[in-house]
Amino acid sequence: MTEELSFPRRDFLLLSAKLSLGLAGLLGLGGLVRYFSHEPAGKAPSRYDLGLIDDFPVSGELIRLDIPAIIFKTANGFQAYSLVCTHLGCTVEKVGDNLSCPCHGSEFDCGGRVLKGPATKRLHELEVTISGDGILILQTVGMGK
Amino acid sequence: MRSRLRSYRLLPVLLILIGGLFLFTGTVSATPPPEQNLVSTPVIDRPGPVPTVYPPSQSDNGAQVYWGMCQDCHGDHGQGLDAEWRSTFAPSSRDCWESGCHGEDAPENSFILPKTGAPALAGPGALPRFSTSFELGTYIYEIMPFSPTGSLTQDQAWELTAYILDLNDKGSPEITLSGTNSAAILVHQEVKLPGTALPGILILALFLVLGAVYIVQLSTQPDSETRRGNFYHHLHPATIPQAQSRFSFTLGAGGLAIFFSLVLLITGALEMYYYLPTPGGAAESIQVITELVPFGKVIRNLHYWSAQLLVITMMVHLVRIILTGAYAPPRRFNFVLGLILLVLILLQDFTGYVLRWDEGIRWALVVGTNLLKTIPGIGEGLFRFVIGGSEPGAPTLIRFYAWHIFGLTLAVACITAWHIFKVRRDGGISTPPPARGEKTKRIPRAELVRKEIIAMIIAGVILLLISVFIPAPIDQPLVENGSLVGDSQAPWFFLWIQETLQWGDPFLWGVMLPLVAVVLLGLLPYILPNAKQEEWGRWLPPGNRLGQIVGLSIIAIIFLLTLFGWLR
Repeated sequence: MTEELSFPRRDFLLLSAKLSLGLAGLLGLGGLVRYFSHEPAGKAPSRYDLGLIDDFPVSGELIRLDIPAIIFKTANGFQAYSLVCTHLGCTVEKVGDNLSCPCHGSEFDCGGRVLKGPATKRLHELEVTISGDGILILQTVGMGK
Repeated sequence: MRSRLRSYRLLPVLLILIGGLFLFTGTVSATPPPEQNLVSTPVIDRPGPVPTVYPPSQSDNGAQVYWGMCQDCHGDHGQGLDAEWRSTFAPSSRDCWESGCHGEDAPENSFILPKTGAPALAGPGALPRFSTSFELGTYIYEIMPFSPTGSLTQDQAWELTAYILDLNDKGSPEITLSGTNSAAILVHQEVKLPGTALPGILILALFLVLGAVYIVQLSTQPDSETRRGNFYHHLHPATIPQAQSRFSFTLGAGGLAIFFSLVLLITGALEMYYYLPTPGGAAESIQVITELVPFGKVIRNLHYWSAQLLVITMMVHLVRIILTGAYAPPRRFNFVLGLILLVLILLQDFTGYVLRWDEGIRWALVVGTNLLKTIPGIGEGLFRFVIGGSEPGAPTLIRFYAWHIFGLTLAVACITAWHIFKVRRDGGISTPPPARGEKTKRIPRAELVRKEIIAMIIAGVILLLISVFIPAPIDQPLVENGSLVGDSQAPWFFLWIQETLQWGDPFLWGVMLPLVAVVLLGLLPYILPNAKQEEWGRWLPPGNRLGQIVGLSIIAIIFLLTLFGWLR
């Protein structure tokens, strides 16, 4: 009888014990992965109220650091750019006519185009719409925030 | 023989398949399809009662309340008091602010409508001031209806909250909103509820049991005791006297306490990844762990139940030591270390309890810290040190958090290590000396380790089952200047002190009495006669009879007082 066994009972039992406990551990690990899959922080809003169109600053320029974004009033409507530097995400500052990043020195012009590296991509353009009752609405979809 | 082996081998594969299925796809599957023959309110048929599907959901009930009390001002689908909604009113009532009912000269039983009207409850931009359903529900309960304020019941407020979430397409039919879960349910974002953890946990437990069965089988192998040990084996002595590993003598209590401590360490560390130690965030984050985090409820319950079982196990351990006279020299200092550990664990339980920062802990925190004030001389300073100011608040919470996860944990870890080391240094667990001319029978460490692992698996499986089925207590978030909703009962491990406090002076009965009880227990081996060496290793030795009577009396009184407070 013992001769017929392909491998000894002891090895089989040891393997089975290790396998069972290993699988239990693996299941636990799977649970752990799921436990950490929850994201407690909510998404940032994708829609911002910029106030009444008539209240827009006369300078023709509005900076909202909470978004963060800069909104220009031009002859052909409103234009808005994200102030998130496309290099590594610092908030760019208005310096003279240009936008300059305090972290690594990238510079952008008022149309969001790169004037100076290390950033290679232009600032994200944001969509400004005017609601029925004359309120400016900024959409940040695709801002990569 | 061979076919039997094969079926053995198939079982785990089958189980892992089923287990994996539940574990990784686990979403709520038991949502019955709504009955189709009843339709919800068509918007054109306004205003009419809302039909409900039986049994009505919380939101359905909310719709009924809404129809009766809210829709006049907030519109029939939560649009607010806009021109379109007012156009459905009788012509004389369309301008609410000028009408006879709610204008400047509103009659006695009516009210003046504010110029802002009634805001929209649904649609983009609605409900801007609320983040969680708890905030919304509490606001509705406290402020709404506008007149007469406060005429809603708590249940109606939650029903309305559920209905408003539904109006915004953010409702979750699987959840019944209440004070103890609504802080996890956001108003503006759809929440994804995790599936039930039950099947995954049961299958995990099954594998643990299966492992235990194989380990027991393994021990019947002839050469199982002589093989080389692994790292875990080497943490143990090479052999120990067989008399030291008798369950009927040790009750396994010391080992079990270490096991529960390890579970507490791991589950506590996991909770830290979600817990926010701020007055506004604590109770909310616990609700998030419980309601939204996959397996979060089980992890929290495991932490809670191992903490409770640890206290009970330590008490059993203490009674065992006293009734076997095991604290006789050279083990008496280790007995004192054990008592210090017991006190530290009670402090751990108390600080952990306070971290819930919900209505359930309000009075326990007030009473517990005010008790410190009654200590002459140092009381006021001690109180300020514990609270971090003159009254409980954010500094209190962060201090309790720091003590719980660091200060006390470090102390417990160090003294536990010392306690275990002293057990070995003092010659292991107390056993009778070998009879003359006889050699002590010893067991190899492989057997000891196996016993430990089996005991851990059994305890672990029981703990898992308790944690899946019995939830840890939770209450609604603590609100500043709050009401009297809080639980006035002390946490169970301090119920006995709550009882003694009713007898008179708080310093005498609430501080000195527990202190005297602990000191008296600690002095047992130093002032009363001890068991002689030939009496060691058995229950109720005559040598420390007096110690047994005094020790057991103290513990019995504490037990009875606890029972008394519990039944109150």
